[in-house]
Amino acid sequence: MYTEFEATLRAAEDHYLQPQEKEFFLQQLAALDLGLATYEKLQEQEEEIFQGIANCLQEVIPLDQTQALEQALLRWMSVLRYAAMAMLLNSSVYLERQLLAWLANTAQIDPSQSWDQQVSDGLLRALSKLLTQEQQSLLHPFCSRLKPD
Amino acid sequence: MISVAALVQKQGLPGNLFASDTYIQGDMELGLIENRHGSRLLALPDTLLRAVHKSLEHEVGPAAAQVLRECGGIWGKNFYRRFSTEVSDYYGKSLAELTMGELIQSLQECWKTYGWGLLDLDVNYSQQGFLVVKIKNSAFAANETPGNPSGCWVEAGLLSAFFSQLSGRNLYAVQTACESMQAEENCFVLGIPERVKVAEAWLGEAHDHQTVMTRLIAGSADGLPG
Repeated sequence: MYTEFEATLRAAEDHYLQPQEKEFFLQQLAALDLGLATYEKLQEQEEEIFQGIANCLQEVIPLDQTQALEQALLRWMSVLRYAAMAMLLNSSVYLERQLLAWLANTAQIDPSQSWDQQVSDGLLRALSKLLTQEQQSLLHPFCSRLKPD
Repeated sequence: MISVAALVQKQGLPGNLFASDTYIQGDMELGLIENRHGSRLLALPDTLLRAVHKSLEHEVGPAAAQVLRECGGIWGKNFYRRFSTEVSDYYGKSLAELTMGELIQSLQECWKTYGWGLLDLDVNYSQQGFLVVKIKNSAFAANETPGNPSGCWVEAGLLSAFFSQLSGRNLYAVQTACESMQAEENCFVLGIPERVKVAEAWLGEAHDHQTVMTRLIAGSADGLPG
């Protein structure tokens, strides 16, 4: 979690923060602010984003695939929540341990994986409309690791 | 018409129950570790496990294998009970209602987080009534004396008991490869005892895992035991 941030504070145990260090500290605080704002936006819009994806895909999938689509939607809601939390913590290790191996194997075994690609594409489109460029850059490193194989 | 809100409310959004960061928690000051449900966990040092193995071999000789297998069996039954309760509570459904993917994934993650190794199931022989379990970096093999052909008896007992409870049938595990004997991974074949125990004799003749499987399948096709 924000290792550079912590390192700056630890380094300051034997001296007051120097102007350059204070500048870095303020930058990190601003990044935290931006991260929290992005997180809150995702939290507020989650239902709307995924309802939109569900509505679009429902028009094109066979009726007997509804359950598979539901599972794919739930999986990607989970992915977005973990990615948002990893962004807030600024920790790709968190994402790795909590989700990546687990998700990859679940999708491999689960036959509903065929809808993962469509849901993922829909999610990326929705995020590009919802988030500012700055917010997208913050979330991108985490979301880009979560593309279905 | 799919309602996302209703879907989340009905099924929840489960993640990785056994993610080590959240599953294992501890109190450094008190020297306690527990899982996310508050159940106490016990960390066994390698030295203690090696000492148990050596002492047993010294005390009861060849019968040590049976003792360790029995211990594994008791451990496996308790492990199944805990695994079943925790997974059912987390997913909000019983083990039988989980998809195969969810079940295998949970078991693999659990095995890994407990520090027992990387478990993989080979279900290619399920039609013939055998299940192959492969485990890399097995904690149990790490406690074996290199070159000692005794095998990972605790692990065999643990797997037998776990899969017996899971399947509702009495299953027996025979170890066909061991990391302590320079194999790439530990391999176990599980099946009903009268069909799988015959493999123990073949292992005594130094056959490898693949040969044992071929002979088991051939025996199963001929309708002969094993």
